[in-house]
Amino acid sequence: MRRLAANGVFLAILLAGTVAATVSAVGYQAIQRSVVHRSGAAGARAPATVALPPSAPVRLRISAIGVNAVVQPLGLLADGTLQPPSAWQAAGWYDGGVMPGDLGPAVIAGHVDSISGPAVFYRLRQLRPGDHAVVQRRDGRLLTFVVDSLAVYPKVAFPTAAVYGPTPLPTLRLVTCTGDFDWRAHTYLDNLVVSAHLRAGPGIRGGDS
Amino acid sequence: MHRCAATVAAAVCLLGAVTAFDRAGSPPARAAIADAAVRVVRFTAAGSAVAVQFAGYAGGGRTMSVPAGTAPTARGYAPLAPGLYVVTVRSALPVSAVLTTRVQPGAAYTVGVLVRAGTVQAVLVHDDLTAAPPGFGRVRLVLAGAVASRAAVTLAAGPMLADAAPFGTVTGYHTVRAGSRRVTVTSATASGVPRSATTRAVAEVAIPSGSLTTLVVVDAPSGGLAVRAIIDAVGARRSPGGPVPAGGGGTVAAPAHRQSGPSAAVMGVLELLGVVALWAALHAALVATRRRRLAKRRNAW
Repeated sequence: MRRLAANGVFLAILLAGTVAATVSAVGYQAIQRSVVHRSGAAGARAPATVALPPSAPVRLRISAIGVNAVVQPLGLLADGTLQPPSAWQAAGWYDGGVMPGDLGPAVIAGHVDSISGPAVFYRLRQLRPGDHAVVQRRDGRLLTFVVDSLAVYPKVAFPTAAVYGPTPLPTLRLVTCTGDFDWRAHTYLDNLVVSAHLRAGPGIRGGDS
Repeated sequence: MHRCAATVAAAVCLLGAVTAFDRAGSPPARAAIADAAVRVVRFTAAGSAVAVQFAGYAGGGRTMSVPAGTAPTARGYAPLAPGLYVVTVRSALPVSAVLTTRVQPGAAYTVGVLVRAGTVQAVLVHDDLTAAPPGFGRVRLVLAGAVASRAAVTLAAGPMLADAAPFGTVTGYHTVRAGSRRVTVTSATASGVPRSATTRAVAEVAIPSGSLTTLVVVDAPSGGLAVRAIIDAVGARRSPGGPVPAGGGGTVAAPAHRQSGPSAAVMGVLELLGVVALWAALHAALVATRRRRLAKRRNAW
């Protein structure tokens, strides 16, 4: 009887270990999947073509996740990588790329967190297809982008061509960090990329339905 | 039995530690399922209004149109959910074209409409969105000039985009150096470009870095040929290298062992030792309990 009880204790340990390992793995995959969504129905969205005079973005508003941030221009560092925004609560537009509203991918990056708490894009992963991101240009014009998809990429295999490469639509890509944090390198292991397309608006010619 | 259970438990914990280490080192890649982009272009210079309907086999779809005009007209791209579609082209002319195609996620397509001698010809082409290297653009050619049955088209300093190609030809993209480039169009026959070939058009076209451009050879109002450029897609002039550093880690609960520096592999070993220690403690407790009970029984005797 005592031997039976002892066996039960060890089986309980074994079961607990197995459950812990399974929950750990499944939980990670669930977190990854939770930020990947299928785009909305195409028919529900209005396409847009633009012919706007150049004007840099100065502010980004995403009401769905409480973002209202200044946008600063970003260049490249000496090693050719994108310069991160200098302020935790500011977003940064890669000014060597495409201007928001123009044909192609305009890239705006923001920190997910600072060294002590949430930063400007902390809730970016909560965006859903159909949410709006509004870019204010220096000339005062507001451009509304509609979220199409979210994708997580490991930094070791960051798809530069997919993020910065040619697109046939005026596109906005919002980029931040996500995933596990490497405490030795002090960096996140993944990037989250939100893709959105320009919605037709004043001064922007829309297409057919 | 106890030893066996402890060994299995330790193996499970060790497996968990290894899994955690591997997970941190190489998270799985996951890509979103993106819509495709479609557009309609009337390549020929003159033509009536054209309507193109994408009807999905699984429902849904989109209708796009280009108005009547006297110049090639490109309608901007519009998103379209991936799937199998019947594409129907209608115009004021009595002929309609019907195509069937599978629209792939993230891809771009152009329905090109060419009108010649009262006949509507429709082509569905895949717009390859592959990025060009820094300082380069990608160019393709559409021959939509009816006054020359065949033509040869070259870019200054190369390459030759078409060699005695017939009306309606749509080439693939060529990677060319960005900047202002001279395009020369000469008439040709089925057997090639004759020595006495007539130069039918010369034009300067801008090839932006990182862009995809379609050059269309059309009938000019004056009676010859002309070249028109249509921007298909635009990318960054120069793409940053590598990922985007955008986080300080301030919202991540830092485990004490990670703050002090040991690697995940070391932590796996420590976790394993912890399990062994727990097993030893439990085993000792069981042995002690058993001895106490045996002692009581002896005392009772």
